[in-house]
Amino acid sequence: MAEELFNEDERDILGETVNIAMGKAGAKLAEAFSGFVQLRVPELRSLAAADFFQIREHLVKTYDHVSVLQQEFFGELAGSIAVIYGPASYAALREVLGFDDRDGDGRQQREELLLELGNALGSTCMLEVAELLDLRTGMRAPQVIAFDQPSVQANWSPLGQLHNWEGQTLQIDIVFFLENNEVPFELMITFSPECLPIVKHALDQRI
Amino acid sequence: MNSSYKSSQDFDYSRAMTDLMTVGMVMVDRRFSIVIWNRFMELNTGVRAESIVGNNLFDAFPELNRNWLEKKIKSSLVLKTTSFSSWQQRPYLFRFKPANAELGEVDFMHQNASIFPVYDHLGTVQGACITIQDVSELVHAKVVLDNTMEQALNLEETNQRDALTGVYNRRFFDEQITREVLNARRYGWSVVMTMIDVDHFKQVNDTYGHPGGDAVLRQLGELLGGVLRPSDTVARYGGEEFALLLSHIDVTAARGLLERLRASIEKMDIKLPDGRTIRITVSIGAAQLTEGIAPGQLLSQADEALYASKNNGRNRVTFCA
Repeated sequence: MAEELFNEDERDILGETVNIAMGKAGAKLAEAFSGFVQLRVPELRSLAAADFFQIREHLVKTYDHVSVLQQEFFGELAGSIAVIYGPASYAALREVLGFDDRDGDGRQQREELLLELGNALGSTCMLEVAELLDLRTGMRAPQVIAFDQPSVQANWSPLGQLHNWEGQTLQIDIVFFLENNEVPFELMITFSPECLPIVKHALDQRI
Repeated sequence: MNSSYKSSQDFDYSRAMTDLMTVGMVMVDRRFSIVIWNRFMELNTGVRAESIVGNNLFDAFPELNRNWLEKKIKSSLVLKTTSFSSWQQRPYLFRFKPANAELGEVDFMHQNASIFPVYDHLGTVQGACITIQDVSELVHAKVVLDNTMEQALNLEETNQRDALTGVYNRRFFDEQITREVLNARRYGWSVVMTMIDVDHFKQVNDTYGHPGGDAVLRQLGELLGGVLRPSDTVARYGGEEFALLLSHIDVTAARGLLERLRASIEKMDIKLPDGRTIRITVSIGAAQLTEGIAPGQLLSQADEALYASKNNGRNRVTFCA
């Protein structure tokens, strides 16, 4: 991670905090949903506007078809979460959530499944991080930005807001899997540059 | 949200607050018995709080999807997060009549809902609060706007779009330049005109045929349409040439954006109809709108910059001096 974002001690604390937060989030998610939820070790990175194209390329190469959700968080911790869901088994999502299909299995119902799980993942992770840093944050309602589209055509605008930045900011990349399904949910939590001094201060309190 | 019902005074205060709210509020305990039922809910159901508090929510409203809502509430309690429901996926939770008769043929009030856990004074989750927001007017406005846009777009779409790439065509772009220049002068924002030309495109066509060339243009058009901001305009200006209008951007930021775009295109794998993949490069020329420059001149300046990119080795970005 770029040294201009955090010093070495701060990076250590941040890494430890994120790992603990994701561990706690994973435990809560496993309690809430059956058949969940294996995490890959979260990746922390510093991100500049120039990295947007690279990230887009990586995602287009990784996923043939995608659905993309966007959810903003605000307060002392602020930013945006992009939830990327690859080739989708909606039956698996329904099973994890415990929903029946009495409302049907059309696009609206499938979007609802994505939003429910995406919100659960993003909100739980974000609130755990906030709690460990003793910072306040709130979640806005998530939205579907792209639904089951070829990834080259998908709207990657949640990542595209990076265009207007100067300098770097923090991004946390986490992948969740549904057990026995290998269907990944990838979360890219991108912090608004304006909140980094607050994060830095919170980390310094813990050194 | 923390609520404590230790004394009747506290309860009255909470009731006064919830009754003033212009959204529905239903609080249930862990067994889904109704604890709070505010005035919005009274008015829309015709059921008073004193009649329904203590009853099971699903017994009182069998039309609710119990399986879905119970699971949603339970996960909110376990995760201690807010859960959301949008009218776009689920038009309503409760079947309330629309408040505004002018909204046309709508059976029920469109609703957004939130569900969040409620803690007692010890921090223990005691139940969940469901808020119901009437978004019928928003939905109606969106439907009217969408219909109007669809009609307008259908009329103009074939005249404005390039059939191969889906981006705007030259005709639309020429009109757009004039609009953007006028707006930029009126409101004082900056505009950068950009021309992008595929390098060695004739070679692509000769090697892979016109289907190959078309695949290059189509995928390049998709990339450009997908990465630019909503305020930007991209058009296919010529055979293998694209034009970009970037607004609200200064030269420094535009340089950065165009260089990143060039690099991204250079690394892009383009899939051909026969399954092969190739890579291309582009030359880019750009010019910033300055005082006294007409739209046609701006275009010419960008074109000259593009010409300079080609002459200086291609696969580069040149700004008009």
